[in-house]
Amino acid sequence: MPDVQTLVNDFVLKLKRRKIEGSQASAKQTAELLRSVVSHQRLPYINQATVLLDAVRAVGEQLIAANPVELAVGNIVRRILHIIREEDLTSTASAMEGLSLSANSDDDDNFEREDHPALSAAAVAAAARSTLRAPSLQTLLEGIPESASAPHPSSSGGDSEGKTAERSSRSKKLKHDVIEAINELIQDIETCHEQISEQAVGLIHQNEVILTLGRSRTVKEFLCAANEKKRSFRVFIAEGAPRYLGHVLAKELVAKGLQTTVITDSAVFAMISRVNMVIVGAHAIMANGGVIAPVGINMVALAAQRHAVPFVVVAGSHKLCPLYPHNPEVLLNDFKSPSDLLDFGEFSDCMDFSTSGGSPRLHVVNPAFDFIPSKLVSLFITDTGGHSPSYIYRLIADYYSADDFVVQRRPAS
Amino acid sequence: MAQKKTHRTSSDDPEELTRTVLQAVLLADSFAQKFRPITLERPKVLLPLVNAPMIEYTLAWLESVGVEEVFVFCCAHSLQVKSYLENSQWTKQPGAFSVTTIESHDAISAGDALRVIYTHGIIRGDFILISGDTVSNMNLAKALSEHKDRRKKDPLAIMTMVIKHSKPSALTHQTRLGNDEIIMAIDPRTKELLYYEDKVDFSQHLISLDKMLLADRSALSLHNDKQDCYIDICSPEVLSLFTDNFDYQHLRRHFVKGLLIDDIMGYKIFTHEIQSSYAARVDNFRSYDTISKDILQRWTYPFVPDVQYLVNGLQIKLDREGIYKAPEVVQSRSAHIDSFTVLGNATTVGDNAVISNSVIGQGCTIGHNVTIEGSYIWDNVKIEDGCKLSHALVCDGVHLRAGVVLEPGVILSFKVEVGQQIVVPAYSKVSLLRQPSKQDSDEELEYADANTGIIESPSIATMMNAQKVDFPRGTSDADRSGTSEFYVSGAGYIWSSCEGGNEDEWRHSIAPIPADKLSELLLNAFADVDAPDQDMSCIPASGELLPDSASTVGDGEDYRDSADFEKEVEATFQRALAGVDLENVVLEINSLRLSYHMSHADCAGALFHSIMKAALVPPYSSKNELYANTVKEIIKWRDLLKHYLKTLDEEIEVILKFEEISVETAREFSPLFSNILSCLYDKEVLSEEAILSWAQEKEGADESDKIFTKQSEQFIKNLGGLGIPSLKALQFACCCSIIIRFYNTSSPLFDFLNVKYGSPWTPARCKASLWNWMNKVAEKISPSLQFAYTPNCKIAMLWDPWINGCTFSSVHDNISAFIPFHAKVSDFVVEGIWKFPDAMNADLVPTLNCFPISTVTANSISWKDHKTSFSVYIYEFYKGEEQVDWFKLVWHKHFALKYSLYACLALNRGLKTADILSKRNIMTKPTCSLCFAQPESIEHLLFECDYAYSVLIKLIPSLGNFLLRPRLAQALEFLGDILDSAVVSFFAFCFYRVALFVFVPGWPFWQPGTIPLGCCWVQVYDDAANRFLGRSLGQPGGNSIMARCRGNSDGFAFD
Repeated sequence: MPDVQTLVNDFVLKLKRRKIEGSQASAKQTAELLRSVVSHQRLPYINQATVLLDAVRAVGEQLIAANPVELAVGNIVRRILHIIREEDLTSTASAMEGLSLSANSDDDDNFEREDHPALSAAAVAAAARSTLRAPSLQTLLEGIPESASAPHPSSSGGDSEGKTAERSSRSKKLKHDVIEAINELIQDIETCHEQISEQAVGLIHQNEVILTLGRSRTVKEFLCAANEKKRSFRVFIAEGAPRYLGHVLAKELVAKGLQTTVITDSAVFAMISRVNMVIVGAHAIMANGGVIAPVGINMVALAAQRHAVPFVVVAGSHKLCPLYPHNPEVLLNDFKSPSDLLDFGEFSDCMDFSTSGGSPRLHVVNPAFDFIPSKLVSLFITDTGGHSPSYIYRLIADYYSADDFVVQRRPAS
Repeated sequence: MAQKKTHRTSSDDPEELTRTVLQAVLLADSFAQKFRPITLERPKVLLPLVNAPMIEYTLAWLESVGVEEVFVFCCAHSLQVKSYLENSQWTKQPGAFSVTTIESHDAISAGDALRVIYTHGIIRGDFILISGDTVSNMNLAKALSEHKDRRKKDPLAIMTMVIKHSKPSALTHQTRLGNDEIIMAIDPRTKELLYYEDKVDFSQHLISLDKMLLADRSALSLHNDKQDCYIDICSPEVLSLFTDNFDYQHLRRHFVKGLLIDDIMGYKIFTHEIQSSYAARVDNFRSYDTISKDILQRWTYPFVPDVQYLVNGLQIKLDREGIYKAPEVVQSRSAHIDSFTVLGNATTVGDNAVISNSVIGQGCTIGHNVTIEGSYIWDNVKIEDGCKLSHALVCDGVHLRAGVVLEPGVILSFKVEVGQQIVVPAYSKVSLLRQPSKQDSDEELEYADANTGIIESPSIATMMNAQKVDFPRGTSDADRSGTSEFYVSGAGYIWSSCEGGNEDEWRHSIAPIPADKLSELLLNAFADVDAPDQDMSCIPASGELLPDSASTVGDGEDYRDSADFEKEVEATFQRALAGVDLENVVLEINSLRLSYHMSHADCAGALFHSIMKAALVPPYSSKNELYANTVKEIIKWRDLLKHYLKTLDEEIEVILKFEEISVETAREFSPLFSNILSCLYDKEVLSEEAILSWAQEKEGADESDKIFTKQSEQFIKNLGGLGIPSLKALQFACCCSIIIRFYNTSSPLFDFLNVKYGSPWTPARCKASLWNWMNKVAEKISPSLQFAYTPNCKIAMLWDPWINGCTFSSVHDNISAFIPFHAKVSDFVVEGIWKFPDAMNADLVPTLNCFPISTVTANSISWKDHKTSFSVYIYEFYKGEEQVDWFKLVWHKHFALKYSLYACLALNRGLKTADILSKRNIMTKPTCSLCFAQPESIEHLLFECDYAYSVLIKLIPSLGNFLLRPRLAQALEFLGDILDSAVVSFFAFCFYRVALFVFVPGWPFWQPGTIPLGCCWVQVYDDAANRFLGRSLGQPGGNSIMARCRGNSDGFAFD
């Protein structure tokens, strides 16, 4: 345990000091950390899931508090909480199934039971789930084959083994399943770019003009993927002041052989009439379909709406946040140093408080993010496919359990 | 885990094998006392800066730039620092970042600290030297690699200083951090630092660089807009250098300057300028304020309150307009929190409170209707209802009761309590601890003084002052509001300002500089604009330093030198006492002067010091004896001293030296100060001008320095109303002096005069103009004189007014019959009894018998009611003159002497205008250089010339009310009548400005033939005049003014 605790502290410090840059890295490292938390957690015989949930929640609470602006961390924590609940439900259901099977073994034929124990368990679990809450599209489509493919070693409850052995195997099983699921999650996070860019060909057509702002890795992969499929199109890049990551993106795209035009942020409205589609990356997608994205994108979205240009947001599913935004322009924003905007030395005389009456007369605001309301977004492309903003709530229902929306519990007052 | 593994593999790379652990030395002591009284109770590095201890910022930065080993050097309050670090995350945290404390209690400077660290032998490679109060977010990698590359090429490049572009204020000559403006010379190509000066004398308007700096490089850029960040990347040699030069104390003043000057070792210092990132050091209260605001404005990102770099566990939310709120803040709905404010955890804000630009710590309670502006309030402070805080610093646990008002710049140290309705005056510092008497921290202070050199020398008077002010706060409160029943007195002592006096408080305070101070500075700045054309003349053509300024503008080195020099001169002088020839002594002192690189003025000062010491050697029992001794010595060594008193400066130096001697070393002289001064004058050691300009200099000095000017005030102030006696007065006084000495001293000259002419009252029988003069003067002063009979006195029986102011000849007729023409009074006294000739009227005998006869040899003639002194004579000369009240317009204490002299010259027809020059046969263009129309004279230049007059009227509108153009004296008198003293100084400022403008040819803005009325400076004066003078000068009508202008201006003009 102390080992895990140091890992957690280390990661919390890194988050606090903003040493982990980017949603994907944060998401992946959070998942990895929680995986080791889960694997190191000693489980009692009863209430295993609750213990696991508490452990993950306790760590997750610290992680979320460490950098509340990086929503991906909270997303992953909630995803893993959800995974634990799911797996717990599955194993309970399989146990019930096993019990019921052993009880009814005489009535049922043995053949089915021996060959497809997991399938039946999954089917029961799916049934149980569907009774618990509204069936989601994903569970209906993927639930059965996926759980079928998952290996379920010896849950042959029919054998007359000692109860203790059965419990230990059950505890190991739950942990094991959870870890497996987390591994899949990490896999998903790692591969989200490829999965998103697979859809590029369907969206970008020949001779189109695409506009983007700043630099997003997802957007870059997306465009490159379309380029590799021999689509020829042009990209307008708004430079994305004050960090000017658009310049970096332009360099990368030109290296890949794309026809690229760099414009200033203020020229977006002038150019938007020539644009067929706007593709931007996001920092986070909120539960109502609103998007938190690098500053300047709201302006692009408004321009796109004015000229009826489709506004597409590409983002991995780890950026999907189950929270509803409240005052996102301030509370979910990160205000960076004014030195991006101004040269301190040149303006140092404006900030001489000794002669300017004590109160600063020069204010510099350098927000990192914009909030784009959902009505401005035409389409979200995540690793699971394209979705309209109104569908986001369903995705969230798939990925998260409603009990976990509030990870941080207020201390008893 | 994964992180660590990659780390380890990277360090195993072959190219990285030589890599040493990056180390840093963090000085957790500033070795200064700028944060007193707070630092008496808590070390400076632990003081909260935006609710986090300063050392947190420094450590967090060091950690973020990849430093792996930090040595924290603790000195003052080392236990507190250590226990803080032990409980902090830094020592607990596993991994590459380790914090080690080094403790030493006898270190009194950064130099000592580095020497201690050297003895520990822990520094293995390049290290970062930083003070524990530095806030930065710079990326060190580039500077570090630059430093290492340079080291590879040139092992002498031992240090890289981090600097940042930041403009100093032109008015205050200090940076926004409250430090003095720094002048640096940097080689633009290599970034080598060539010159570093943080104490620039801006009144000089010039700095001197060694011309060798330019000898081997093509360019050199001179900056005054670079801020020293006090972050240094040092090589291990730096430590050994400190150990070798054990007199290095201060990092910049000694070490950097020492390396720059020293060309034997050839060590070089380089600079690294940071562009977008931030670095600054909390050096004083002003920088505390500035850096706090920078942090709130997020220049230090990510070291800002809402990013949890520093404080554990508290999630601070940033709202719009830069309002930072910790959780569990209880804020009344009606409270108004304004922009750039931090509210700490669990703080309560009451109804209608207004808080702006402030930092409030944790657990504070702020009552209803409290106004807080630009203040820093630390943890657990209680502020009751209705308090008003403006630009104050309030430490932990302070309790302000209802209605307290803190004026700008107030510092309240830990747990101070302030009673109800008390107004704490601006810039006061209050602490529960008493201000330590100066003796406690003697060596530190001495050390500081030695470095500041001429800036300040602690005089006994100021120390006494300091202790007087040190009264317990509680009692003073009780006195003030004894009527209040519910009154609870506070607790704490008000500290008197320890350094630099109140003058400098505003510079380093938290409060912004007050508006009146700024406008004053603005005026001074304008005054300085003109100064260069005076000072330019004294810049030597070569690159060498001025001999005078080099030695007087001294830092520590010079100070030591001059002390040595003084001792050497004294030794030489002792040899002279022992009988060495005078010329040899002069030779020796001259050679000393050259070897110590001293000026004549220093020689004169040192010599004078020795003379005064010699005067103390013979035993004396009373003041008079001491005086006599001194006079004897002065007469004896006058010739020697004269060798070095070639100019006015040297004479002033002698007076200053004398003053210093009598304050510090030989207090016996202080009561005799004015006597000896006039003796020096009488013996022609000092000239009139020297004494007067010394007095002028002293006018501006503080009270303690004024002791001696006050003593001799009479001597200076009543001289003819203008400040300088006329030649006639001097002549008159000289005659008086001769007359008095004629009677009271015996010398061959006076004996000769006595034989030849009798007495000064004896009717003249010659054409000698001197004696004629003497006669006239004698007639004039006879009512003020008093005679007494002494043996061998020279009182002439017939002619001298010795009988109660009457001569014998006037009370007795037919004198020549029985008294010879040259008879002395002594002829008629035999053994102390009068013996009159028989032919004398008998009724005179009783009158004559009243005449005092003393048998002791003493002064036979004396002044009524006064001692005889030169000033008395001059006073006598001006006795009948009218006193004028406007002489302050000329000799105001706020004026530069230069302007006063201009004004005085103008009044006395001394300015070199065309008409006066032509009288002296100097041919110049006779017409006015402003209007080219009329002949140039003083009156013309000031008033008759339309241009000058229009400028004057713009400045002082009511001057236009004169019917005819006024004369200078009339104008002054008129202004003296209507101006109150506050306006006087401003008027005179403007006036002399105009005078200077008019009289200095080649004024830069002025083109021949054009009248630059639209020039910006005229507008400035215009504005200023409207603001300051329009109100008070606009009133009187023209007629009354004319009536007031009495025509007699000749009284104060020389013939």
